[in-house]
Amino acid sequence: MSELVLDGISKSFGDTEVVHGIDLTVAENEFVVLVGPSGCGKSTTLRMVAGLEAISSGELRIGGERVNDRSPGERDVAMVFQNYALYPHMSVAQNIAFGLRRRKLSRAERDAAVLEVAKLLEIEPLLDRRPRALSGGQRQRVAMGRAIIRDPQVFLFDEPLSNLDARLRLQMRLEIKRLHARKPVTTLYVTHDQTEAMTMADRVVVMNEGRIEQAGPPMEIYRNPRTRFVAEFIGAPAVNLFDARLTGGSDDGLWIELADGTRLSVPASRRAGCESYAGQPVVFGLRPEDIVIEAGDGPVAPVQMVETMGAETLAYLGFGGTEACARLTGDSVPSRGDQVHLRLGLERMILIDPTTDRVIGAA
Amino acid sequence: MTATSAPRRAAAPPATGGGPAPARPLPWLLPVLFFIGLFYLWPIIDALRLAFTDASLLDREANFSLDAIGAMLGSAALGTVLRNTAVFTLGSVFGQLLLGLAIALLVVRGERNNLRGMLVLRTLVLAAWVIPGIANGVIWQMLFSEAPFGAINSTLRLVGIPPVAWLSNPDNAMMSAIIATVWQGTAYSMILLYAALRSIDDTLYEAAAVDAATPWERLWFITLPELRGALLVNAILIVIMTLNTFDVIISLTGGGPGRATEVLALYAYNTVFYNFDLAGGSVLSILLMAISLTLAAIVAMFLPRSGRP
Repeated sequence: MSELVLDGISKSFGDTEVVHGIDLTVAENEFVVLVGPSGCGKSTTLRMVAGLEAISSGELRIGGERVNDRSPGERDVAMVFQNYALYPHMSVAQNIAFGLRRRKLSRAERDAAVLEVAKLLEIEPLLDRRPRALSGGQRQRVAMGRAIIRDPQVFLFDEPLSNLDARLRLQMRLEIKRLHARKPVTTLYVTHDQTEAMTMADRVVVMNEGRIEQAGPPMEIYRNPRTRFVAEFIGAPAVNLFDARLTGGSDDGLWIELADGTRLSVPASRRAGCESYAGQPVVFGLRPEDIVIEAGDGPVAPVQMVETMGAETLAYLGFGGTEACARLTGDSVPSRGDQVHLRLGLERMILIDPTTDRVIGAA
Repeated sequence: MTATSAPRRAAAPPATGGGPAPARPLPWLLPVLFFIGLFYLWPIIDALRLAFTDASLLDREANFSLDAIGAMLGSAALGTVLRNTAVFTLGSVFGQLLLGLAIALLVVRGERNNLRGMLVLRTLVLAAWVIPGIANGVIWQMLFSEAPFGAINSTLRLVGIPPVAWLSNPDNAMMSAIIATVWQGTAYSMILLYAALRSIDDTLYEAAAVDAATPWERLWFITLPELRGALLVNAILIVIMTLNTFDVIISLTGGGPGRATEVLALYAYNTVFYNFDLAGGSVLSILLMAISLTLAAIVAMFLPRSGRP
């Protein structure tokens, strides 16, 4: 059993508390990503798990045992650092083997273990090189090799991809995921990049200002954000938010009235949760892919800017008193200045109470 | 992956430095050449010239002669003096490096743990370095003094240890000279190594901590290899400084008892200013310079080369 449990973990520097009582359980072999803007406390949380920062209060358990007072080396965790932290004067093979020096292995056994890890990471030809003779992606692999060889209970990643260029980042993202599929380990991964969080995680934990805003599977977080922060932070391009007002019709249900006077009918399936907000201001949110250009009787909007990306096109539309982004698939690309009819996926809209910034109807 | 990340600009000629070299570099170098020539090269060349003469301080009328070289290299004292110099230099250099490293490690560790008084400690150690060598010798002479007021001996007496003949016993005098020199020179090593220690990436230690490295392993596998360049440069500098030391010794022991602490620099000084033998002193100075350069060259061979750790 190598379950990782954070039970009310807090961190204070002097009188300032920066992490406020984090409760999180990472199940055995689960891949959990902590994501949030810089300064949200995600790295501090990870460093408390590693033992590099003291835990101010709360309890940390690895495999059922309390490890608060153990040194990093006694916690049986392995960590991959943002700058890789490879030992510069050791060869790749020595770097990888460093974590084995305490196990009483013969030279042949150790070399075999190093070779096995090197094969897994496809870095066999590099074993005799020094870290400075490696590219960023290669260093990244060596850093992972150094962690993997120890066969730890918990794997920790501290923004491991942020020093790589965009293309390599994509490649390594996939590779870390593939590695985890082949050799599952309880993993806590920290990043500020929501795409990394969405693509890699079994479960995403969104942090903000030292607290967990929401935790759940990626699609759950994406489709059913619980707060305005999560709705805005997850998803690229970001969710479109409009200031609006919910109005009750004379007879037939609810309407959303946008700042430019557009009135949208709340679909029957969504009516139940928000009826009590009738007559009140709300923030109306719609993901870019839920705005579709389609001839019909939908609202009309001018195309203000177009970004073509190949497989998809982002169109920026003058809509709802502000600018809305629509993600269009298919080959019909509108041009700037066109007036287009929109079809809105209102079943998937996100309504936010502006007084609490919580999503209306969320659990 | 290796194919895509390999450098592709093999065709471009390598740049030789920062920007184009001026068409005529000489005018730009002239001021430096002038001052180096005036203050460094000319005295060396003059010493070399004097070594091949019979010049004395009283009689500057010098004629070409190889007598001084023969007399100095054949002198019975030279062996003793060279052995003294070797012992003094080795002892002082190792003492300064070890103590300097120890204090630097202590200060860095204290700072990492936000201990108070680290700045004061650094300043105190550095204060020793700004004391002139002559004054340092005088201070240690008072500390080592075998009279009833001698600070060290009276302290020893308090804890019941019999007094030590620090300066009058030929077997102890060299150790005392080394202690005085190390005390003064440690600050220099400490500052150099402190700066080098501060520039070591902290995450290396964090990675080592996660890898369960003991403090000794951290010192052996991270700190010392990372400090290699600084330690060697430091060694070159203090080897040369120590070889040239005579101020501490002249005021502490005057080279005595007998020749027990007479090092090469002091021997050269005595030859010129007590025996008035300018030519002989020049021979010894040239010998000293040759030894310094050789040692520096040997140490420099171990310096990390750029591009290869």
